[in-house]
Amino acid sequence: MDRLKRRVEQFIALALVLDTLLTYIFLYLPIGVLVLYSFSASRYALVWGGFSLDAYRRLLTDPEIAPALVNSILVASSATAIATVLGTALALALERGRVRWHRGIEILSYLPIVIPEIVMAVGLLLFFAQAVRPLLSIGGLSVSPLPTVIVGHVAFSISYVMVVVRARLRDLDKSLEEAAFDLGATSWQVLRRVTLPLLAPAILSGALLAFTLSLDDFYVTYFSTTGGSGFKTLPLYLYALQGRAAIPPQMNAVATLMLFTSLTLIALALLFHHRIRRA
Amino acid sequence: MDEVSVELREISKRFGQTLAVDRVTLQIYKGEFFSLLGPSGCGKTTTLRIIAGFERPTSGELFINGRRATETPPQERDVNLVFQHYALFPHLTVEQNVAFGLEMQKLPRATIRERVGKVLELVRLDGLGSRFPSQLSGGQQQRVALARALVPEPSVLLLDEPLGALDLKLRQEMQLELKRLQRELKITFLYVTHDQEEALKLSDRLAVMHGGRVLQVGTPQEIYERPATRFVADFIGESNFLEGRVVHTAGTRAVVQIGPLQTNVLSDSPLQINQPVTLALRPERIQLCFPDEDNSTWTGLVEEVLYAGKETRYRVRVSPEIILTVSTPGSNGIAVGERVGLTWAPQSLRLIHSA
Amino acid sequence: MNARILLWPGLAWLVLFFAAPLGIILLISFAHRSPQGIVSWGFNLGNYLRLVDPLYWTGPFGNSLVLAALTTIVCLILGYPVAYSIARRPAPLKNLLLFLVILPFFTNFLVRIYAWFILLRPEGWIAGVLRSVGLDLALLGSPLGVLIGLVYGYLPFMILPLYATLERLDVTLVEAAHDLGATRWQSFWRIILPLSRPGMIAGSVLVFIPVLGEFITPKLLGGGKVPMFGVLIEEKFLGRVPDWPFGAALAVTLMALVSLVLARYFHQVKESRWIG
Repeated sequence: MDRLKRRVEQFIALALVLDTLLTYIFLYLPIGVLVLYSFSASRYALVWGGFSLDAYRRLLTDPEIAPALVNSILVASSATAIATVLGTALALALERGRVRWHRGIEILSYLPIVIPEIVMAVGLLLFFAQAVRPLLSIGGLSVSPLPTVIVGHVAFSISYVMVVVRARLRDLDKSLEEAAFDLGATSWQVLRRVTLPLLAPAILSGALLAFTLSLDDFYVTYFSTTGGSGFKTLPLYLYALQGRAAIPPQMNAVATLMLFTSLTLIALALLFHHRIRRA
Repeated sequence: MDEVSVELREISKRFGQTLAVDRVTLQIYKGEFFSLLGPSGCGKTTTLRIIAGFERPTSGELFINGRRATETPPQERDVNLVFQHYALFPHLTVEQNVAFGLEMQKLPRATIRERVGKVLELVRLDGLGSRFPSQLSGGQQQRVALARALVPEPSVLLLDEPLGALDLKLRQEMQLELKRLQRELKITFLYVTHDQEEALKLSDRLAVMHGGRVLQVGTPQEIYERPATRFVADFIGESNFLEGRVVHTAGTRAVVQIGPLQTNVLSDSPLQINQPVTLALRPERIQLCFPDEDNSTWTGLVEEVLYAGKETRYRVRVSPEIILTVSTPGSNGIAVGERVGLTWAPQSLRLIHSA
Repeated sequence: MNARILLWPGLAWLVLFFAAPLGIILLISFAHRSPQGIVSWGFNLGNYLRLVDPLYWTGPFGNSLVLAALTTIVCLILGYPVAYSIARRPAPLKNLLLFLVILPFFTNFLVRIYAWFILLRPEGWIAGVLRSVGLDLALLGSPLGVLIGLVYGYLPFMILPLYATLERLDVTLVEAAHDLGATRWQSFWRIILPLSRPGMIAGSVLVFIPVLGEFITPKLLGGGKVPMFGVLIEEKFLGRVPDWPFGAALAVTLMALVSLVLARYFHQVKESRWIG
């Protein structure tokens, strides 16, 4: 009976390891395939035709990719900058200040994270099409797609930044700020000299998160740029590629390059993080 | 000859480079209140966890109730542990927590309910059965942990510094509770603590540990009156330590030279002339009297007087390099700057062998 | 304090560009469809009346709910053992393993779905392997293919909260259970599993809600044969025959479902009064 028990326990331990292993394979299989096929010499992205860098060559000569890349970075940088400032401020206000309708504001700030992206995307589409454009056209103004997209990105990024910063703010030792007050600092000084420096890693994490989400965003960008403006970010460019009858091989190349860029960014971020930790 | 409940033979435990437990050999008798006493890091908690089954000894053997238990998993040992931070299951009520051990034994519901009810009464928690641990005070949580460990009626109860988190008054109350419970239930208690007063108060016997080793085992009186090593003499109560050299021996008596002073000392083993020795003298065993009286052993100058209600503590300089701490009950009106005589009973001056 | 200065910019942005758009969706759901398919103002309950049609409920709505539920369940079954194994490892390995779980997430998800597109083709490897054991399954263009894509995309969302809860689990609680006679299985079933419920619930919410509104994965991997909320909404706004008010009504219905789930979640959290 004991032996049976031991056997069962061993079996379960093995099953756990196996499941974990299989899951990791599951997670990395598609990525492996992409990278592999990016080196395939074929006119079609889905067929293996021997080793070649043809896909990458096509990528570099594709006229649409450069503007898409530029747009992505432009949008991501602007949105991140704005969202980080606003989101951090919001976190500080909620956590350290006394605010009316505290609960309501809290819920409002968490909502963008929880609701399905498509709802937000549709909302922004309608907002710009039905409210903003008509209003602006009265004054003879029109809105170009870039600010539209940035506005949408900021809207969801604020929440992510806020969540990250707020979590860190909660863990922060209040007595440090109290000591500063006790020594005669004003609210603004405490903020600048004590709170913000201590929050720096969290703010950075939030910014990195916002940047990644913005680069990656499809739904909000897609719905905000309808109307044939031709404005494309990288994800939109990818989507357009897929819409074609025969998927061109650049697809694999773009995917692989994006993967390695992300990897590099993260590796850098981690290194940076370690350096800060040590200092 | 009393039955042995728990026996450790040359138990050692190594964590990486550190030797946390070093060849510990102990015998704990059935029905006794036994304490493991020592400072933090001395290995007492590790030893307890080895007995409970959460650590495997690197070498040595463990016997519980006469049977080899060195490799038995904790769920099969007839031993229960009261954890230092209680480890109460937060998602179960008090009653469910306490009933847990009985449920694992697959006893019928009615029996479980009955026994749980009885033990809750025993620890005076009746009526609180349906509360959750987060709704209880520290003292109440501690009693739930106790009840939970007691209800399966183990032959040995292990307690890992259970009173550490309680405030003074509560701790003192619980100490009496525990002693009373142990006497009533007649279960072997194995108690781990760093509080020497607690250990002396509660134990039938105790073991003093330091650096992973057991330094001395004995009754509270033995440990206090006849400390075996300098560490024990220092850790338990307080001692004045004097380093000297033997200058004369006569059977069990010897004369020791300490700086410019000399004194008589009793010894159980023969001493050599010129042998260096360490002597220990507890502050409360020294009596102050008028100097130049015949029976005063030494005289000295009072340098400090500290009145602490129950006792008064003096620092008396008897020679250029030697200051003794003396403690007398109440207050004697002796002031700083006075010359006093010090005297003590011959057995109070203890010969210490090694560190 | 100067909380006002800190508060208002962020709040204003959220109100203007998040709450207001949501409000507009609601408003437009009651409007008429103009000939071009966009909005012609007026009060019209017609859009909601159309939604009562059972075809919607067995079709896209039913699909969305079923797929969301299935995805959540599969993620839970696959994810729990992984989170559990990782949480038990010693420090350096634990962080590495967790990082490896999150890493795929840092590639663009379009790219990852595209990769599944390659893998799930009838000419692809997986179909080939299945055929060799006698299973001739159509993966691409079927709910199964969509399910695989969804599980792939949302698995980390399940693993992370589970890991967070399991990692914080007090080891002495498991020791206490063993001390009292519990076997490994009993200590898992009676102690670890109940105490990991907050993680399971959080993970489920983080998977279920977004999947309800998913449109990319079902569109690309479902080949038009797996209609879901998101797909339908996109069609009504950006498809060949737009109908914005109806699309808005769809979005509102989706939001209603989401709110129901969220309300249930908050209720659950309150119920567990023993937490903390």
